Amino acid sequence: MLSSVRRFFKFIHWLYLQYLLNTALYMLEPWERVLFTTLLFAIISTAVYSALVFLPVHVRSMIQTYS
Amino acid sequence: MIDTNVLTVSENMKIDKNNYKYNTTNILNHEDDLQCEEFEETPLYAAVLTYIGYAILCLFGWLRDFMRQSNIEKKRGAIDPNASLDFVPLYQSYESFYTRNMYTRVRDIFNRPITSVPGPQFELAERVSDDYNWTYRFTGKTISAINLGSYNYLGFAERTGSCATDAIDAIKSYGIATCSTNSEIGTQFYHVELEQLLAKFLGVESCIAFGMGFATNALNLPVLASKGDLILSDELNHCSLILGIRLSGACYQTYAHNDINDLEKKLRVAIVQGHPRTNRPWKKIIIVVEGVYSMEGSICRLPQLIELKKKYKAYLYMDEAHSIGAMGKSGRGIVDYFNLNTDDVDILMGTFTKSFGSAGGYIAGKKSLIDHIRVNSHANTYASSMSAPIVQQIISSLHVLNCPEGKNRISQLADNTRYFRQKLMNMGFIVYGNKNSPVVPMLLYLPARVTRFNREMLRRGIAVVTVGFPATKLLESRVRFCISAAHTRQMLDTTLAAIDEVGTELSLRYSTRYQHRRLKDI
Repeated sequence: MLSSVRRFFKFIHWLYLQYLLNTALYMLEPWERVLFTTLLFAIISTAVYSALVFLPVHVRSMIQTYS
Repeated sequence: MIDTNVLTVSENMKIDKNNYKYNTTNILNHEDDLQCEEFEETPLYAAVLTYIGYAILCLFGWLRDFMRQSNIEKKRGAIDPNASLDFVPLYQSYESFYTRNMYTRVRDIFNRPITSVPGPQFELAERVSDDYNWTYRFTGKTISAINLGSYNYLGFAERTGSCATDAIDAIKSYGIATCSTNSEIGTQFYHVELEQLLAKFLGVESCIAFGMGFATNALNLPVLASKGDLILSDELNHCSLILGIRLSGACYQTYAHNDINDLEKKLRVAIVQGHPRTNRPWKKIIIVVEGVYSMEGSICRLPQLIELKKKYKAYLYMDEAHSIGAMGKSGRGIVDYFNLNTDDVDILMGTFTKSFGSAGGYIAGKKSLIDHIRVNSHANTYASSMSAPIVQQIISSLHVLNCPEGKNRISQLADNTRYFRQKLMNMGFIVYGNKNSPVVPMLLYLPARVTRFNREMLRRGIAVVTVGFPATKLLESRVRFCISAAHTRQMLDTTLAAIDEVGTELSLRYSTRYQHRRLKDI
C-alpha cells in the first residue's frame, strides 16, 4: 500500500522532470520556472474556461443554423 | 565514374519502424565491411522539442538581457569597456548572447578540473556554485569517476610502467627545457631517434616532429600550399586544418562529408575551369581529410580517395590525429586499417597527444618533402624543440607497440570498441559513425537532456564529455565516449548499466532502426 503510494509520487516526479526537460526549464533559475509555468497555466486556463463557457452556446447555434 | 571493379558495392534497403526505407551502403573490401557506417536521421519530435527548448531559452535570454541593460540586475559577464565611444564592438553580439544566457547557465558540466592522471579512472575536483555558475568554489574533496572523455585510446596515460620510468629518467638526464629551437641548437639526439623510430613504425621514408599538434597543422599547411593552389577539404575538418588552409593563402573549397561523388565533381570542375577569374590552371590541388573524425566517429574513404587522387593527379593530406595507434591491426593508422600502401598518401600527419600519451605532432612522407618542411616551416625554426620527457614517452610507447604487450593493447581497444558500440546500438540509442572507430558519439538532441545526462552520469561516478552548439550543429548535441584499451570489461558494463538507467529516465532511446531494449534484455 505504502510502496504503491511512493511509486505514484515517483511517477509524478518523473512527469515533472519530463516537463522541465522538454521545455528547457531545467536549465533556468527557479523564479524563471515559476514565471513560465504561471504564464503557461494562465494561457491554458483561459482557453479551457472560454471553451467551457462558450462552446455549448456556439454548438447549439450552429445546429440551429444548419438544420 | 570511379572504377569499382576492385570493390563491390552492395546497397541494402532496410525498413524501420515507421516504414521508412533507409539505405545502408556496405562497401565490401576483401569480404570485410570496413566502411560500414550509419548516420541515422534526426526524429521529428526531437527536432521540434530542441527548437522549442532553444526558443524558450532565447526568450528568457532576452528578458535577462533587458534586466541587465536597465540595471535591475547586475552585469556579471564580460563587458565591452568602450561600448559608448565609437569603437568597433569587441564581442560579436550573437556569440556573447549565447555565452551569457545559455552556456553560463550550465557551465558546470564543461571544463571540469581533474586532479589525477587521466587514466581509465581518475579524480575530479569537486566544485559548487552559489550563484548559478558565474563563480565557483572548490570544496576540497575529489570525486572518483570512470573516465570516458580522455583521448587515452591505448591506455598510455599512466603513472607507473616502463614509459613513466623512462620519462622520469629522461628528466634526470636531460632536464626539462631545451632552451632553443630545432634549427639553432635545440635538436638533441633523442629528437633524431624519435623521428627515425616513427618513420620505421609508419613505413615511410622520413618524418619530422613538432611540439604542438594544432600548430603542426596550422603552420605546415602554409609551407605545402600557397597562392595559386587549390585545397579541397572535407566540411567537417578540424579547426587546425581550417586555420592552416586559411593562413596558406590558397583558394579552398569544401565538399560534403565523406562524399566521394561530390569531391570528384568539384575536382573535375576545378581542373577544367582553373582559377576563378583568370582561368589559369591550378599549380597543385591538395585534398585534406582526417583519418577518424572526432565528432562523428566516421572514417575517411581512403581506397576511393587514393583512386581519385591518382586519376586526377592531386595530392592527399591525411590528418591521423585520432586514428594513429588506435586503428589498424598493428596500430599504424588508417592506411593499415585498409591494407593499403603508405606511398599512396602523400602527406601523413598525426599527433602524439591521443594514442601515445604525450604531446606534439608529426608529419611523415617522402624524404624530399620532409627536408623541404624542415627548412621552410615556422614551427621548426621558431618554436622551442620538444622537451625530453615528452619525447622519451613517445619513444617508449613506440617500443611497447612493437612488443606483444602493444599488440594486446591494440586488440583490447578494438574489442572494447566493438562491444560498447554494439551494446549501445542494441539498446536503441542513436550512435553515429563506423563500427570500428573508438570515438562513440551518442545523440541527445535537447539541451536540457544533455545537461541532465552529464550531471546524472557524474552522480553515478562516470565522467563523460557532452558537446552542444557551436561545436556541433544546433540540433545535434551529443555525448562523445572515448573508449580506451585500459578500460576493463567491468568498467564498460558499469557504464552501460548507468547509460541504460539514465537513458530510460530521460527517454533517450530515439532510434527507429533498432528495437528499444533494456540492458538486461540483451
